Order: sequence, then structure tokens, then C-alpha cells
Amino acid sequence: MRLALIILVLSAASAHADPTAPLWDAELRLGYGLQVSSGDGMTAPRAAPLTVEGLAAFALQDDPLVYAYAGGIVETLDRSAIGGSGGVQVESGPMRLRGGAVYFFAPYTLFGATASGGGCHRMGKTLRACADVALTEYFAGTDLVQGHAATQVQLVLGMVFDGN
Amino acid sequence: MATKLFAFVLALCAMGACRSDVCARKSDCAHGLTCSAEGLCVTAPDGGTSEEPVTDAGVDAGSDVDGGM
Repeated sequence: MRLALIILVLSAASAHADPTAPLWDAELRLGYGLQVSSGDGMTAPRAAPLTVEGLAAFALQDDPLVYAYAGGIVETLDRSAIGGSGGVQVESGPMRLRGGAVYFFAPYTLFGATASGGGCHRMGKTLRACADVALTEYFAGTDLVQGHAATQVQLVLGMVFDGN
Repeated sequence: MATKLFAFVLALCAMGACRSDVCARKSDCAHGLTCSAEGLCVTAPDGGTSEEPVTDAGVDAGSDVDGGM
């Protein structure tokens, strides 16, 4: 993960600005995977909840291509919760890396830090299909058992609608 | 590489390595269960019921006291 980040940042820094890069985009993301608890006691993996995320990203700079993103997130399948997420995204060609924070506020609170990396395939002039592997560490909130943290590893599929 | 690793872990989970009785979050456990400090979903000490019976008992006790005075 760290090596991938270094490679992406270096390639992004050496790349010329892409004049066709959108100034903003909107994305719908579906994530599903595993959750591992850390702390005292059992550490066996279990299925993570399905997450559905709607995000908007706005370009901060174009060389390297950096976006700020924010949006809403819900957990579903075996529970229901709603929250928000936000952070920064670096893109280089079809590859991208994200880092940010996640906060669920109802019906419980849950704070987490998230990082993801993956790539996108252009499906049309303004549409891209993306796949990322996301790592989220939940470390605080009323939903966590005291002394525990929850680590989620998810495969995230997204559809990105590019603005101009 | 990361996708292959993810697929491998997911396959392990499908073969039974994942457990539904482990938890780190309270919402991991089904209704009527609570997440223990050991990270396991266990039956709540009060059997998953609310505190209403305790309140009722308290009211009854208070009535007895009132009646006795």
C-alpha cells in the first residue's frame, strides 16, 4: 500500500496536467468485504456490512490531479446506519488513491479513517466504472465495544459521472 | 495484487473461516445479543429484555411501603 502510494505520487508529480480532466465528478459506490476486530478477545474475521456511498469530488489542483470529496454513506444488509465521509483523492491516468474520514451519526456514532486505491475504466465520454480496495479503521464511537477497534477491508465498485 | 488478495480472503471466508459470533461493534450482534468485552456475541444479562420489569417491581415495592404507612 505504501509502495503504491509512493509510485502514484511520483507518477502524478511527473505527469503533465491533463487538459481533459473534469473539474468535478459524482460517484455512486458499493462496498462489501470483511471485518476484523482488534483488541482483546476474538480476532476472527466476519462479513462486513454492505456500504452504499454517494460522493461528489471537486478538483483542487490539476498537476498532480488532486480532488477533495465529500458525501453520504449508509450501512445496510444486516444493520442500518447513516453517515458522511470526506477526504482527498489523487489521480494519475486510470489509477487513483484516496484517504479520508468516515463518520456515522445515526442510530449510533462511529468514527473511522479510510484509505483506498484502485482504477477506473472509461465507459463513455462522461462515465467511468471503477474498482477499489478500501481499508477502513473504526476507532471511536458509541457502536464500538470499549477496548476494541474494527478494521474493514472492502472491494468497492463505483460508477463515476464526470462533470466538466 | 490487492484484488487477488481480497479474493483469496473472501474465498477463505466462504469456506467457513468467517464467524458471525465475533464482534467489535455492538451492531455486529443480532437482536437480543450483546457484544462482550471478549469480542463475542452473547445473550444479554437480562435476556435481551428492557428494564421495565425492574421498574414495575420498584413501583410495587413502593406501593407496599405506602400501604403500610
